Amino acid sequence: MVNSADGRLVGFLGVYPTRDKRGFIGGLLVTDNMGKPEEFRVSLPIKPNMVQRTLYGESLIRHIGVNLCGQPLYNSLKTKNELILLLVENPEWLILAESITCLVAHVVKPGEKKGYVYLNDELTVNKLESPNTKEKSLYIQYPSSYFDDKQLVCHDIIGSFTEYMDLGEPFSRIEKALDVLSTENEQFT
Amino acid sequence: MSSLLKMNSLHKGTAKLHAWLLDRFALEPSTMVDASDNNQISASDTRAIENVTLQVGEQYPIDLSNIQIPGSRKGLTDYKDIGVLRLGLLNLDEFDDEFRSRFTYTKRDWGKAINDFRQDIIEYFEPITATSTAGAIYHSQDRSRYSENQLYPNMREYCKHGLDRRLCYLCRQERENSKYKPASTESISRFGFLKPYLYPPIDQSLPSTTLFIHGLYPYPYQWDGIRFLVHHEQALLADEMGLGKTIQAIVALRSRFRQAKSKRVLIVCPKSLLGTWKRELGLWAPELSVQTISGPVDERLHMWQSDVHVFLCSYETLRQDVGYVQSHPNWIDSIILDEVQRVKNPETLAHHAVLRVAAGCRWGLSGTPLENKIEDVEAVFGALGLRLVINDRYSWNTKEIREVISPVILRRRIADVEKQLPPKQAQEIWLELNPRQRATYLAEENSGVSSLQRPGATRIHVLALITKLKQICNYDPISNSSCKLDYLTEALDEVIELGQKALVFSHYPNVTLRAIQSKLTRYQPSIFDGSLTSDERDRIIYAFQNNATPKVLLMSVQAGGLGITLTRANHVFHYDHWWNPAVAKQAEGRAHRIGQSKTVFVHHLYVSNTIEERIYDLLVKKQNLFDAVIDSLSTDTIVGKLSDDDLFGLFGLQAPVTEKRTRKP
Repeated sequence: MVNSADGRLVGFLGVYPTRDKRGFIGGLLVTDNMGKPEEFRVSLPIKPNMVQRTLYGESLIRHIGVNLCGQPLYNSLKTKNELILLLVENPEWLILAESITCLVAHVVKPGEKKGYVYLNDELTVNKLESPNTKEKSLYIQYPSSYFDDKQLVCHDIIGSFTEYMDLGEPFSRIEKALDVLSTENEQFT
Repeated sequence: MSSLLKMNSLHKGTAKLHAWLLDRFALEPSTMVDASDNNQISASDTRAIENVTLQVGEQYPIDLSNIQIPGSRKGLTDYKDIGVLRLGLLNLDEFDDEFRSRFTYTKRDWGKAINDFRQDIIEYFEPITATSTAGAIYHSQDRSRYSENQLYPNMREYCKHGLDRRLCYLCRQERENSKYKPASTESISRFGFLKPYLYPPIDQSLPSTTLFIHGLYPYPYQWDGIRFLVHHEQALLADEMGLGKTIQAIVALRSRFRQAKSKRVLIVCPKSLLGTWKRELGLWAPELSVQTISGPVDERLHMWQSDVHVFLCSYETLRQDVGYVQSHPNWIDSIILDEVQRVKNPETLAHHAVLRVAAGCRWGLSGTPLENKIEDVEAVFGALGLRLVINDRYSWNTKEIREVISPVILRRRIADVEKQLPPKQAQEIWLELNPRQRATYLAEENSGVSSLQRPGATRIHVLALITKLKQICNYDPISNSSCKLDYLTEALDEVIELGQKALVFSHYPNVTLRAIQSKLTRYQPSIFDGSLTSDERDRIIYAFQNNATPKVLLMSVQAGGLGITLTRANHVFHYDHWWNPAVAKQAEGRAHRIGQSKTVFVHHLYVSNTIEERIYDLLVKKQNLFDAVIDSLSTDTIVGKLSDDDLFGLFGLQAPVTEKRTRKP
């Protein structure tokens, strides 16, 4: 059977606190359809001060995820042309779809506040059967700008990637790798 | 401690601001007080702010009233909300940290510090900007050089001389002549170091292609061993010889890396096994970078500084370098002690050296049963960071010891798992020449290569040099040292202890087998070669098959390769190899044939960085070429398929140009 994800790459974008908890580091992991790493990009730590945190308020995480990490990391990818899908850890970052060329989606984690996701009228959530996730089904959230046809394309691609990998799992790899990076390099602390 | 916000007077918006602060930042109302009377500011206050003071404890009152915003006539208090927010969010610890990290003022310089801090506060109003990015590409085929060569022999790296980098004689000469072998070549980039953490977790249910190189996959009992190690920070894997303890430890280690539980690992093993460990790591955990620590002390120091995942060293090296390891606390987080019975004597320096490595995860590997002697168990488990609680050591028996150690030891016998094993299990052992042996080898090789560069050198001369070098790899008659013999002795100890027997095959009965026979007397070996009469042969075979001794048979491949049955042995050691692998398979057939009830373990002994490795690589490279003739058992057929360039190329030389005779018309 020909897998539509064969030879194509999927990206995972996550942003995590620095070790000193005063800032954030973004990481973008690109893998093949078997989950093997193909490229990894990180941002230098972003450390908003107290006033900045205050002024940005609730938009801070979105600003960091989209403007300060998502776009720069995506643009710095060497494998950008082979990337067909970018999965973002936070549904607020789905607006990246407006500024990058590949498809963007969010995999709803098992413990994620589903109420927040489902009740938001602007967001669409689709259910996908997935053999490689613990719960055997996967909830995918698309940007509000994706209409039915684009959602279908996205759905097929995600389905083909789930054949060999758990799409929620690579985020924990990014987190672990960033943790190792920050312990090994003061620049990333 | 919490911050104390003092306001001398409050403006009309205070109530709104107050509520907003409390709500958003969950501030304690008690942290906001009126400076004039130290009373808590209430939401109903309506006075205007005239000045704002941040008081950090009793010591550092800072008046922020007169701070001027650059380019503006307004002071900070004109931006009341922002100023107050800033103050409201600071707690004393943060304030102190920030001061100390930014300024190194003595107490007398507080005036300057405060001014700088004011400036700093103003700078805080800047928006957050994007930072630069960093990263690396990891292509799937970016495996370690070794495994890449195994899989894609044609994808070799070529040196500046235009030859295969690993085989080039000129490059090797340069490396030998240079004082330092650059350890940095083993080091990896910052993002190369991250690679193991970016792989998916190891899970038996995943397709093998996502975990292992094609053709490699652990047996079910090995998965049990892997899980056992992963779930125990301190443990002893004590499987019988031949069940793949090394592989289980490597895959378990790989799993720890993928869980980010390990960052730097030290593997300590007998010197003779360093090469084997490095090869096995390349095969079973290609994403891990490895540095073997050996050589002179200054060189070793350089090697220890390599930025790699795995350090590999012998017990002797660790004994010498443990001071360096100990001086870097929390540096090595995991240690694997192969043949851990080597540290069973608590009085030895090796035992003390192992104890001084402060690694949290400590695994031991040993095929030798330990539980017969309580002191041995105590010492070995001590090296693994486990302490046995023994009240009356004299009353303990083997059964009781087994019970106590059972949670942290896993021992499987071949008989337990034989159904999972194939009838014949082959393993390559890659060894390093002993220093004195290497000196002899290099002297012989240099002299031989010089001869080959003279006019008139032919492929016959190349083959003669190869034979000479292979014999030195087997046994150095000048120094009487042999890395293969060192390994064989240790392996035979285990074989004999298990009540089993072994065959040792070589192509050089007179030069090699007779030399090693005298060193193996404790196993009472017999030699089986072409010099024996028919009666002598029959007597040796009968004794080997039916009596307790001999336990080891040293066999010439030519004499013992065909027609005889030696099923009493289930371990076969190929001490050296000829061009045609089918010859070795025929020899193995002496033990692996009808009547054999056990799995036959075949051990191929090779020496790294010698002619043996170059021939091995050449045969891999030419595999397709040989497939057609491989069953003919004819050495000439194989050698005949190799060109002069192939043979001279083994020494980095070009074959001499032979003038073709032209027929006269």
